[in-house]
Amino acid sequence: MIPVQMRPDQILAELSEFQTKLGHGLQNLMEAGEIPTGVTPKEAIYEEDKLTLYRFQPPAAKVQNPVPVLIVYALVNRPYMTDLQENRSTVRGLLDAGLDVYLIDWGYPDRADRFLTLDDYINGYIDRCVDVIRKRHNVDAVNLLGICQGGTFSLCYSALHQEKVKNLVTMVTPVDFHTPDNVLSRWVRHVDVDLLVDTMGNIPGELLNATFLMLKPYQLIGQKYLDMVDLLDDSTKVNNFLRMEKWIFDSPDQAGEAYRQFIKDFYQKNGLMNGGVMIGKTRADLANLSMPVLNVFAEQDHLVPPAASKALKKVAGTKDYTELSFPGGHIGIYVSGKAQKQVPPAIGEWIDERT
Amino acid sequence: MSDSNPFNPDAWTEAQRKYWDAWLDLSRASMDAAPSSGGQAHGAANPWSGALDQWWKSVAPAVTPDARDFYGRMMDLGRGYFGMAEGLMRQDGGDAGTEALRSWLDQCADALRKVSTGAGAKDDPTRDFMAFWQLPMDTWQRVASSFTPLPGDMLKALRPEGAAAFGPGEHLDRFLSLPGVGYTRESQEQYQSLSRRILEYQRAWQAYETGLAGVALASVDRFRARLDDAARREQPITSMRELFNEWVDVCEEVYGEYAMSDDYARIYGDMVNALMAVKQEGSRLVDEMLEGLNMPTRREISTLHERFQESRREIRNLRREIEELKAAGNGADRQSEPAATSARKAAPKRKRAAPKTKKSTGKGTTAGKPATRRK
Repeated sequence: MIPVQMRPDQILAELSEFQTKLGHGLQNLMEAGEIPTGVTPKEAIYEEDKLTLYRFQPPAAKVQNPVPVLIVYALVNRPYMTDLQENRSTVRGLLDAGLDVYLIDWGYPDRADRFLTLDDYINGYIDRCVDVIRKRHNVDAVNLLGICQGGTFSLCYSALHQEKVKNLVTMVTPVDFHTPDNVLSRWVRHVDVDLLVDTMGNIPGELLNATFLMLKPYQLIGQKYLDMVDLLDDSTKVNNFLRMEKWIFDSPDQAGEAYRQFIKDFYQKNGLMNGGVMIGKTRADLANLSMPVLNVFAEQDHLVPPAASKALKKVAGTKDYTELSFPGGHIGIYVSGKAQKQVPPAIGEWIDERT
Repeated sequence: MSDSNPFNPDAWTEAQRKYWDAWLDLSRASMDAAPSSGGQAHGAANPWSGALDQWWKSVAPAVTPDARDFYGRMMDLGRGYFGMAEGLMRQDGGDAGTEALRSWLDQCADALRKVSTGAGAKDDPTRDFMAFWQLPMDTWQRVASSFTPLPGDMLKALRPEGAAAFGPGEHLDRFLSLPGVGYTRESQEQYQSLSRRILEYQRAWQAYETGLAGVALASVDRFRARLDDAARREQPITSMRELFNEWVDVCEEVYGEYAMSDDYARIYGDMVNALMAVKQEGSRLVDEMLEGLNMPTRREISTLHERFQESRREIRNLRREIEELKAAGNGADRQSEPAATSARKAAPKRKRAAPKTKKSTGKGTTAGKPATRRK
């Protein structure tokens, strides 16, 4: 059996078709214009430095859970991934599940923010946002939903401020940073983080972006664009692709000191699995988590492998621990059609049962 | 152009098709005349991807900058894709079967070996396809040049053979370690130090490049094995895209294995650290110059930023303490009043937990009102 069966004229036809699609598609691309992101109406409730706390407008006729949910997104990339477009919005799904949804937008730190520490982020910014929401709703505790690095922050916050967190939901959140399949963790082991931060001040978003792309360079920098040529004649698909592309490359710089601590204490020392991490003057020990915890992870996550998330079960002190696995990747868990049907309703149901 | 789309390539494609056909015929004739040339007698040019480039050059000026960047990425990949097809068609006078692929893979492997020794030829017929293999390296270079004053391709110009003019590597190191003398000795030592850092970065960068060339070579072997497997399973590859996708899968698989190795982690860490050392040394020199011009330096601004953040923390802590003291004072006042027992217990807790936004800014936080802002 001959493994490759192609005639020259056939190859020529394929290349010619490719060329034609490129040419026709360019017109669609030119007409795409500004790509809107963050589609659900929202209101700025509180601002501090670069941070903005938003409240999303709930559907008028929906009966709401009286305890609001605060989404804590990662410092890496922008939080509009949770509300990317009309039919791909985790926020919309949570609103439809009857939750009152708030979100912290960290903004774009600049050099003046270089000396912000994890203490400033967790015991400062997050705590003040939680207090604003508690006061608005006259509740003692809120529901916290942390995403990726924001999930790690939420775990620390909940361990340090148990009385202010009613229920904790973590999505694609790393806990054990030393699982054998964690590529990022391996890569940073030999990086001199002190030299990096002392030299760069803030860590450029481009550097993080390149690091993420280099996890799967041939697919993420390569094949993806070739596949895109096949979609170029469909303006809706072009817009969806461009929206995702905008998000991927919209990477804020990282405040240097917070980055230094995050890499050293979490990635290099694996602090959460080893008795906790010092946030300011207090140790955030996950054994202190007493509230119900729902841990949502993606089965094909190449950034936060499932084992890195599932380790939470071993170290969380709570007696009410639930896991929800989603058959997709790190990004698909917010934006895929399947995720929209499964994840937000499951979170809503889980919170309702505990309110 | 055949319609209102200024980028419509139909007419261009038709002309191109004729050109390709003619080129194919010429290739076959040439191969018939010189069958032992192994496909390399056709010259170095890649006419198909070259034609793709020509089209892009003709329309790119009319394209918006955002779209140009995005399309540029697709064109980069298109060149690799076209390069693969061209590589196949070059073999054996234009046949594109298994033997052609194997022969072309041999050529790629040869070119990769050259890359790994820093001797890649610019006019190599596998050049466009090689660019695909070098995606990780290319990505790193783009990023590195975005936050250092070094041009992205500087290290390509600083190949080891250039440094060899100074004799063995240790000679250059020793030369750059000569102690400075006289009034400008400090300045001389700083520049020597920067030069040493650049050389160290070059070595680290080259070790990374060599590692990736090894990945590419391993990918060629794995790809051959995949083809054998496809033959065994009687599932032949019947289109260029299928072949290209299979190739991408193989590259990703082999790269993924390498990226998980301790060797890669060490080489990657060395490269990042070496680049940072260059940048740090450069920043130090710039600071020295700024100081000489009586201008603010990065070092001074960082000190200010650090002190500023410390002051903000202290102010916040003081505010918190004042509010707690006030709350405790109010509680004590109420305690001295009779008949306020049950409500009293819950009150201090609420008070303490309440945010201080209203007092500090005078703005409300209810829906519909302007957002509270805290500095």
